[in-house]
Amino acid sequence: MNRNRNKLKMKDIATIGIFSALLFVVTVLPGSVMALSLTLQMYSVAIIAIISAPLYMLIMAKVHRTGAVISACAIVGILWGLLGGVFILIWMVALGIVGEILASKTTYQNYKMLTVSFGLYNIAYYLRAIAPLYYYPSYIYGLGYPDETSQAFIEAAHTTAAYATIPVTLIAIILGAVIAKRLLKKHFEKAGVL
Amino acid sequence: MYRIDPRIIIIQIVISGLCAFWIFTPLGMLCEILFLMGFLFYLRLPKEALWLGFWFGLITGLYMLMSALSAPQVIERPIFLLRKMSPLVGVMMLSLKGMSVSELIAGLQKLHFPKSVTLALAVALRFIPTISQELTQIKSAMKTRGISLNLITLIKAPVVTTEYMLIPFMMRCTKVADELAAAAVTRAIENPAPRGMRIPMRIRIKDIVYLMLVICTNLGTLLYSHMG
Repeated sequence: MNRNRNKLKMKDIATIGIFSALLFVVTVLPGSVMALSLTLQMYSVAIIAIISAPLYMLIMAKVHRTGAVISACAIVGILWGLLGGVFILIWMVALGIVGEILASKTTYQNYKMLTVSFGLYNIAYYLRAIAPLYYYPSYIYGLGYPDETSQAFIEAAHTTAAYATIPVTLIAIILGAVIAKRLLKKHFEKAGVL
Repeated sequence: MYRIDPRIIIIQIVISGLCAFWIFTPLGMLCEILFLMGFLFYLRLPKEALWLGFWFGLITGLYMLMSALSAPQVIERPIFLLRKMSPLVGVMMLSLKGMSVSELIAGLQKLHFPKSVTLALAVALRFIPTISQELTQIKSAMKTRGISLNLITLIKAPVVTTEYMLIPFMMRCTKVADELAAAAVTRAIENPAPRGMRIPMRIRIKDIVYLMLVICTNLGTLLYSHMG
C-alpha cells in the first residue's frame, strides 16, 4: 500500500518530462555558446548550474516520490544520447542512482540532500564536458589538432584559472540551490503551486 | 510494417554515438559520414542523407580554408568542433527522423525500459518543439505590461530579466504538466495492462542484417581510425 503511494503518478511523470526537457535545453544552449573558447567552456558548468537549479528544485518540490531524481537524470541523459552524447547518459544514470539513494533517504524533503543530488547531476555533465581533459588527455591529442594546439589545451587545463573552475562550479551549485529555494518560496509557494 | 524495427535503430544510435567519440582521423570521420548517409538512404531519408553530406563537405572545406589562412583559434576552434561533431549530426538525424516519437517509445518499452522513463521521455520529446512558442507568448505578455525582454535588457539587468522570463515560464510549464497529466489519465494511461501497438513489432532477418552492417561499419571505422 505504502509502496503504491510512493510510486510516480502520471502528474509526476508529466512534470519530470517537461522540466527535464527544459534542463536539457538549458544545458545545450549555454554549453554550445561557451564552447567557442576553452576558458569559457571550463566555466560553462558553473553557469549551467545556476540557471538549471530552479528547474531541478521545482521537480523535487513537486514530485517527492521514489524515482524522481533518477528519472530526471535519465531523461536528460537519454536526450543527450539521442544527440550522440552517450557518455553523458552513462554518467547521468550512474550519478543519478547515487543522488536518488541520498534524496530518498530523507524522503526528498531535506534541502541539503537535494542540493547534493543536484550537485551530482552537474558533476555528471562536468565529467563528460570538461573532465576528459584531466582523466583522458590522449582524447585531446587524438582530436586531430596540431600537436602544439593539443599541448596548449592540456596546459590551459592545468593553469590556476582552470583549476579554479572546480571550486567555482561547487560554489555555483550551492548558490544555484540557494537562489532556487528563494525563487520557489517567493513565487511558487505564494501562488500555491507547491 | 516498419522499414527497420525501432529497437534496431535505438541500438544503432547507441553504437554510433559511442563510436563517434573515438573517431579522430578526418578519413575515419568521412567513412562514418558515408556509412551514416547509406543508412539514411536505406531508411528512405534521402533529403537528410544529402544534407549530412553537404554539411560535412562545407565544414571540412571551411576548416581547411581556416587552417590554410592560419585563422585565430577563436574562429578555427568552433569550426573544428563542428567538424568533429559531424558524425553526431548524422546520429541526431537518425534519432529525430529515423523513427517517430511513438515508435521510439514503443521500441523502448519493448526493450523493457521502465514505464515512467518512457512516458516522461515521450512528454519531453513532444514538449521541446513548443518551448519557443511558449517563450514568445511570455514575451508578448510582458510587452503588454511595459517590460521588453530582449538581448539589451538581458545585458543591462541579467538577474531581473532572467527572473521575469523564467518564473512565468516555469509557472506555465507546471500548468501544462497538470493539463497533460489530466488528458493522459482520461485516456487510461495509468492502466497497468501493456500498451498496444497498431503495427506489431517483430525482428526480421533484414533487421538482423541491418544491425550486423551497423556493427561491422562502426567497428571497421574505429579500427581504421586507430590502426589505419
